[in-house]
Amino acid sequence: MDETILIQAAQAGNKAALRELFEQNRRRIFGLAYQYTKNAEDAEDILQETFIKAFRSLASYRIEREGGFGAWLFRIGVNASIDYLRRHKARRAEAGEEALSTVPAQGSDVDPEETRRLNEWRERIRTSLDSLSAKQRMVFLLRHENQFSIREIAHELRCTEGSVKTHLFRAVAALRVQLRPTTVEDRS
Amino acid sequence: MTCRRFKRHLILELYDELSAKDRRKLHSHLDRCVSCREELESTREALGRLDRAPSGPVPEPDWERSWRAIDAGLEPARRVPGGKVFVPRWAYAAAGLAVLFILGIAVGRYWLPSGPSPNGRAAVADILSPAAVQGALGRHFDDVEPMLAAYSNNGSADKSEAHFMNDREAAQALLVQNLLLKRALARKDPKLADLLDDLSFILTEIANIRNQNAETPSALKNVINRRQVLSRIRRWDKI
Repeated sequence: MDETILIQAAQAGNKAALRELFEQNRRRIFGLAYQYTKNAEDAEDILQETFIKAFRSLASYRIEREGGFGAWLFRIGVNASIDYLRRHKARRAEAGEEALSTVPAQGSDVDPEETRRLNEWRERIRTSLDSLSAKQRMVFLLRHENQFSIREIAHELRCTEGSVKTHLFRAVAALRVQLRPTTVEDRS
Repeated sequence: MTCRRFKRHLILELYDELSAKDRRKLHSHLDRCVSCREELESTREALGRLDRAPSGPVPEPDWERSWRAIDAGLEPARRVPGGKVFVPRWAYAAAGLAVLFILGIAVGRYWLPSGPSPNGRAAVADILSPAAVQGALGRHFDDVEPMLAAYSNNGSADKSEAHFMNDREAAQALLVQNLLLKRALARKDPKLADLLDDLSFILTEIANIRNQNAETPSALKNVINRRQVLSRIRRWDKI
């Protein structure tokens, strides 16, 4: 269905149209939130917050101004993710949550030693990412994993390109220290 | 330019975000500075290690649970532009009807003498005043008539998918009203029962329309006109 019509129906409060918008965009938002938090439960919370915020402010959405519903929603998802992490970072650190799921050993041909190393490495990445601020983490995610340009990130986060460069610089500098090889195995 | 200034450029270079001018300056510096060259390589290596680490599959959340949470989160704030709380028109009629039925049950249970009715249970229409029944039915016909008139006049000519979507939702709600009225009144008035039967068929069709290319709208137009549904509704309204 034409997106304009769908959005007009949703703006009028049509539940089926809201549901359709959810169906069309849910995977992208959940994917973003999961990439960001590395935790399915947190990602689901962010997914819900994003859609509630978006649907509540649908009246202010203007197709010609926002560059498509998906882009507008993604921007809300980015900000919801940052807000969520800021709110929950302390709690997560306190609880010592296992943010990254560990890779289980499957089948007889999987080397348990390799699995152990992989899980340790993933845990190091998680710890490294946790050492970043919420905004540094988002800038890094958008640039490194989603291949957004610095200009696009500045647009998404409503900040200057200089500010994005600073966040990216600090994020990479921190990750480089955290992910420095510490064992002979790591160097191999 | 000092090494400190170039540190920032090293990272921008790795992400291909340097201008041509800055890139030339950086490479000229790298030719002379071992420390910056090593830093560039160690950063490249760290990011490469990050890329090579398998991230694992993205889990599949419970989409239905998420939708329910979103829907519940929207309930208190579902509004239309202009700031008014969005309440569909049919909701008022449905709410009125529900009050009427609860009232009817209360009257039957507490104020009327108990005893078997001819078919085992008293019809609500037996209990409520004729004026109340007339009112409920009149409101139902007021809700149904504009939708039927649109199908009768235009078929699918002016209808977009959004219109069909609205019609589907409205028809689903009106079907419930129609069913309740049919149960309450059919026994007393066979002609009315016949009309409510036709409405039931038409509303079911509208509630199931999927797209404007379907033949349903023109078929509906034929049914509405052939069965003279609109004139029967208007005739009943005059009673």
